[in-house]
Amino acid sequence: MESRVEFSREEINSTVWEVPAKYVCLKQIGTGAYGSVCSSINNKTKEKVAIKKLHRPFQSEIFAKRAYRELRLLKHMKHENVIGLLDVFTPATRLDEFQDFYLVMPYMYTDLSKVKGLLTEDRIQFLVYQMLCGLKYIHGAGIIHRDLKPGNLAVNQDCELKILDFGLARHTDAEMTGYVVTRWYRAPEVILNWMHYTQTVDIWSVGCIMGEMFNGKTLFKGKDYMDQLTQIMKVAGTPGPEFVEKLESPEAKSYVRSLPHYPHRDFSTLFPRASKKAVELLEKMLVLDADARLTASGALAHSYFDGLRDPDDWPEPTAYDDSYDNATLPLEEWKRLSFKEVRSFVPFPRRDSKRRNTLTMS
Amino acid sequence: MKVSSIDCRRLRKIIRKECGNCLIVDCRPYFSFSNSCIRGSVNVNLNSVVVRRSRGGPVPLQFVIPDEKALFRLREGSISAVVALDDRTPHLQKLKKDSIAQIVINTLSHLTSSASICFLKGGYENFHAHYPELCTETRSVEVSEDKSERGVSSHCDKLASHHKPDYDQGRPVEILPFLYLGSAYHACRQDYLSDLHITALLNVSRRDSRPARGQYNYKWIPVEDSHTADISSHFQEAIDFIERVKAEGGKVLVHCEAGISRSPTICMAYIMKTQRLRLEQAFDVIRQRRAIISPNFSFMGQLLQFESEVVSSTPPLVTPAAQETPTFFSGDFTLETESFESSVFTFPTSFLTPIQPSFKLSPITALP
Repeated sequence: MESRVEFSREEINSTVWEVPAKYVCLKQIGTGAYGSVCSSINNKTKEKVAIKKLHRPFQSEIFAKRAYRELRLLKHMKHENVIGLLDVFTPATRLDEFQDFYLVMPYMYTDLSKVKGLLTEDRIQFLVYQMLCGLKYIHGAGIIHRDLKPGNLAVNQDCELKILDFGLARHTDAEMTGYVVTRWYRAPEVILNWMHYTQTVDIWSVGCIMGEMFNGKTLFKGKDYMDQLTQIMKVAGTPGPEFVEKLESPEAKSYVRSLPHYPHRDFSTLFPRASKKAVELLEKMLVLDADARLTASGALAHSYFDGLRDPDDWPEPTAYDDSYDNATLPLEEWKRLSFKEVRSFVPFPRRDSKRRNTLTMS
Repeated sequence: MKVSSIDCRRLRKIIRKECGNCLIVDCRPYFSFSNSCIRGSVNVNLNSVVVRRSRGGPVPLQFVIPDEKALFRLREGSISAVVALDDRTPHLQKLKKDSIAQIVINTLSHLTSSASICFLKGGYENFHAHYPELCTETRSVEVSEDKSERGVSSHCDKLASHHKPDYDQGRPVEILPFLYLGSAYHACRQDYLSDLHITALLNVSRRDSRPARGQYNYKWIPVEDSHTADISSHFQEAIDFIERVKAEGGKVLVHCEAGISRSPTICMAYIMKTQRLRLEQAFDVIRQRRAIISPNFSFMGQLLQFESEVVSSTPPLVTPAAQETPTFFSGDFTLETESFESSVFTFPTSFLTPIQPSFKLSPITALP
């Protein structure tokens, strides 16, 4: 048990922040229904961080469960290309005092959706490599992201990347999963509403993002689900009967069968700025049939990454235990479980302790 | 090979005199380089993966000089001087052992024999301060503290997303004078409901969300937005509810969670039934008013089935209440087929049940 850390107390925009003294220069950078976020400097490591305080996480069972889930998932992620926790703390020393907890994450400079202008191919290659390394880790833990898009990929000035926003991915409530506004990066099987996704839904998204970085514009900018599907078919070609047979919905079967024939588009003319190997990789990622699509491991094995590939970038993840994620428990039990998780936090050891930007995106 | 330090005045002289024989290697991060750099300089591509793998030794030259033409010139010996620079380090001796610039200098010293290696004192910042005319124009995406703060807005937007979904850019939309379409967010906004004089709420989401305040005629039809949900089994009760609100002279807001799939489906079913519209027409009517609608595939299939049922049924009787308002639709809603824009929604013709080519106006909509 760590000795009692000295805490300092400060009110920022009507919210009381009680944080260890090493976190200084708190400045609010965002607020919402579930929490507030401040940027801060860790005075010991000199790194800039983002601290998130949840609003009254134990006001109801629903809130408590959501807070617990977020905490568990962030704690579980220990990979440089996936958002994870640098720290988590509560000023309470006993369960009966426990009312709040704070999540400390790397400060995120920007995200891919805000990167202007065309990226050079070597940068695109590095970014895609990192997306796939992060996905290999996530998928190895038994998690599917489900909502990869440029806005969920944080980057720093050195083009180092972190996958963000697992919140949606773990919501068991279909209310949230179904209403991702940006459907441009969603795999065709999601649009056709298969009940079972495989991890390759995320690879389709990577293909869309990679293509977008080469072309400087969205690849499949559908106006609605029908249009989205049509635009996909015009590039990937209308599928054969084997694909149609896999569809569960009779409406989807009839619809796909009735489509006019679209040939598979020549990807080298679709992506004129991409090298031959990049085009080859894109073709294997943007495959209609989820079963025929590359996995994250398969993509990393592609010769496009021969100059970058390093097995040290692929630490073996432990499977995420989601036994509580769908449980119905009383409020006090969620609180007790959360307190236990806060107290048992162990920081992620850095591989390059001298390079501060390895984990911090400042 | 001996490495020397040069100042910005010396570099300026080299650039003007020996432009073709000089190679400027910018060791700053990619986005800094993209924003502003010395003309003709090349940016290193020493990402963390490459640096880590070098284990402190020289790195492959193609990462130091990613530009193929520049690399070729260096290898063939036509480069006499290579100048490495970072953002602001004042002197060569001040470089940290593991800094990018130091790694670049080590690699160049190790791998090139003919060119002299120089380090620019004071870095890009000092050079740009003295000779901005030799640098590229700073672009609008210049990095600043304020902008980097706003860079986190995407994270904060997600925090705020449960409060006001970003797909809801506006307010409930009017489909008919008594019929509005929106989201759960709209349904909990008392000010919106008051402004529009909404008297009834039809909730077709999974969550019962009867409003805490206000007296509303409330109906909840629990429907999941999935391809297995049988939403069409609820069409008639939804239509009946809307008709009752209309008969009472009230206004109803039909909403689900996001106003994207379930509630538009109910609205389409209603206007198909009461206005005898085909699915394609109904879709256009709704889409023109709320562009983000996108019913799931199964719901569209059920509406298609509903269309065939509507077409085969006899025209509805004109109700006494409707007779009292013969000009109800004039000026608000035109049903002539020609008024519709060409459809962006093209449903396969093989799906459509044969229907009479011309649209017959029901008596209720006939103009006086």
